[in-house]
Amino acid sequence: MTTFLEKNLTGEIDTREIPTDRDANTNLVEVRKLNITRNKVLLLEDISFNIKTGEFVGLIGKNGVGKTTLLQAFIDGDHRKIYQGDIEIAKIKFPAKSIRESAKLVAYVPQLPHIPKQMLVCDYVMLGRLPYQNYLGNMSIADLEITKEVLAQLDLANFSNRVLGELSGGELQRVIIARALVQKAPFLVLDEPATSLDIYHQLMLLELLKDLCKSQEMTIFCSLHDINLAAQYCDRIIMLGQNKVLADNIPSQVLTRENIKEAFSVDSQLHTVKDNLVVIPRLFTNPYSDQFRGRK
Amino acid sequence: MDVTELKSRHIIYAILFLVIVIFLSATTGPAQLPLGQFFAAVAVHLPVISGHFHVSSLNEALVWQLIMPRICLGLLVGAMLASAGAAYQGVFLNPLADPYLLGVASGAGLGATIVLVFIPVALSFSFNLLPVAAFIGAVISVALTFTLGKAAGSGRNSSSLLLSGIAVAAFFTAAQTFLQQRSSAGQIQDVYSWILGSLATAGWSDVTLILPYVGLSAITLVAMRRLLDALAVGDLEAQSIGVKASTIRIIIIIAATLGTAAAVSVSGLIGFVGIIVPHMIRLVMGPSYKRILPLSILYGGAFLVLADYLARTILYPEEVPLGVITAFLGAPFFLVVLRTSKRLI
Repeated sequence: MTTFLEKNLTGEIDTREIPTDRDANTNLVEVRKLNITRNKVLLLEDISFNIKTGEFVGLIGKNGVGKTTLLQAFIDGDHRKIYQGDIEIAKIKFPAKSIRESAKLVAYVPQLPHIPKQMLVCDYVMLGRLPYQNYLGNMSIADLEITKEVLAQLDLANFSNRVLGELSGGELQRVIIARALVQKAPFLVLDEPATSLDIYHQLMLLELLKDLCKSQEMTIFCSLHDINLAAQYCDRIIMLGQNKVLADNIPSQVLTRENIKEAFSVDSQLHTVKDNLVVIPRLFTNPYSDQFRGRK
Repeated sequence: MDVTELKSRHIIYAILFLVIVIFLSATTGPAQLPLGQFFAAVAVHLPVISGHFHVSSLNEALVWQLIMPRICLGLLVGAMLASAGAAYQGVFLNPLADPYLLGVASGAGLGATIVLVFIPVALSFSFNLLPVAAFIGAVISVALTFTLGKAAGSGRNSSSLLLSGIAVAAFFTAAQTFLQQRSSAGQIQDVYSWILGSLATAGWSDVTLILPYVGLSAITLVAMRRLLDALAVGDLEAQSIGVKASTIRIIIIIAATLGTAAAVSVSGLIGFVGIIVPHMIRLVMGPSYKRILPLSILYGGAFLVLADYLARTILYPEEVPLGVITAFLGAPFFLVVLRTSKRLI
């Protein structure tokens, strides 16, 4: 608690961040032989992968294949019984020795966040500072500074006194990401953050995430439904198949006709337009065509 | 970002209101004691300055034996009921939650009824049995609620806890009604007036009886104020920001319930404070418990002292039950705030 006191007295910016090795070629995240069992059924088996510091890794796969469950391996809490295996973040075994320490390592943006509609934006964003606050004391100046800085960075400075219920989808998504960013964790996990956004806001969001990786050396692991967005923005893609990692490589290596067929059961055409990989997916058979119905 | 934390200005307003209410209550009652006499009567009980003041023994007794314990008890009970109500509303994410939600009221009611019906008045009075029995009854009923709710799997879901609270309350209330039916008319009236709540019999023994529970409970709830906000974003997200929701919920419920049980045991079942005070603050200050909890403690105490002042002066020399006052004045005032506020509950 002395650090908290010192910080409160001097009002300096929080220096208690988890020490991370900022060398670009070191692994921030190491997952070794992770088995995930849900309702006594093995969902994912023997999952191993690394994520380097500053890397933007996408996670793609069919609905129900275990994307969300895999991402939730990076949350400490009551649900951890379903995970067996080793996870290390910044050379610290995860979950860390307390749930607060874990929250300093990983920030999480869920797929369907609970939005307390009456809560003020600043109060909501400030929740991300909870792992750094003691129970009886007031917030430190550093907490306020960091929150202000993040709100400004995400173009939310004028929103701090608005209530969450009034915000548009794009604004709300930024507020939720702001809450995760004030956690000052080196590793940011997002579960389908782009799904409910229009094209403009999807691109804005992914540019933001990309920028976080580049300018602040955040490391991002993010599930996406849109494989073209994933191809466009991710440094690397992890593709989940039935019970396993189907492919784990740069986008052009992962997104092949065979892989897409196995992962999503769809056919696809692949084109390269000005160095951008474009996937045009289509069904093998149209279940609603006359021909198909006739055969039935 | 001017509204993120509770400002000292708001605390000062609340304390000012509290002080005004205390003086009003202490000096303008039926006894018509001048302010100077009141201060002198209090001062002779303070360690260092006691020698410098002189006051008649009648006034001294009036202030120190009747007025002061009653005000102190009002502060403690009001602060406890309001903060427990706020905490329950946060834990169960339900604006209708009040401190009696998990069976505190029915358990305390049964305990009190048993004493009033079966124990001779002289005996129960000399041993101050009534609050002890009410406290034990309250704790038993909440423990029962927990055990049953736990068996139904309340670790993750609070609704099984709520339902078992309803079942336990129904059972205890039935037992109490049965006892009441079989007792004499005088006893029925005693039970009834206890249920409506009163601070008329307040003494220092009551204050010292509940002070440790209320103090501990209030400190715990204030310490948990930011975590209560975190509960509103759902368990998984709360965990991702370092808050173990299931543990926090249990700690808050236990603290709020123990404090409420203590408060109820000395004051009876004073309704409405636990709902009206936190909501009034919520309507004015917004939904963050960073602001609601500390202010609930201050305004809850002030509200109950004010209500008690009215209860004993409006129909002097008769006393109106405290629960009647809190609801009769609180409800219309609350509706006005509800009508004029732009915020939603």
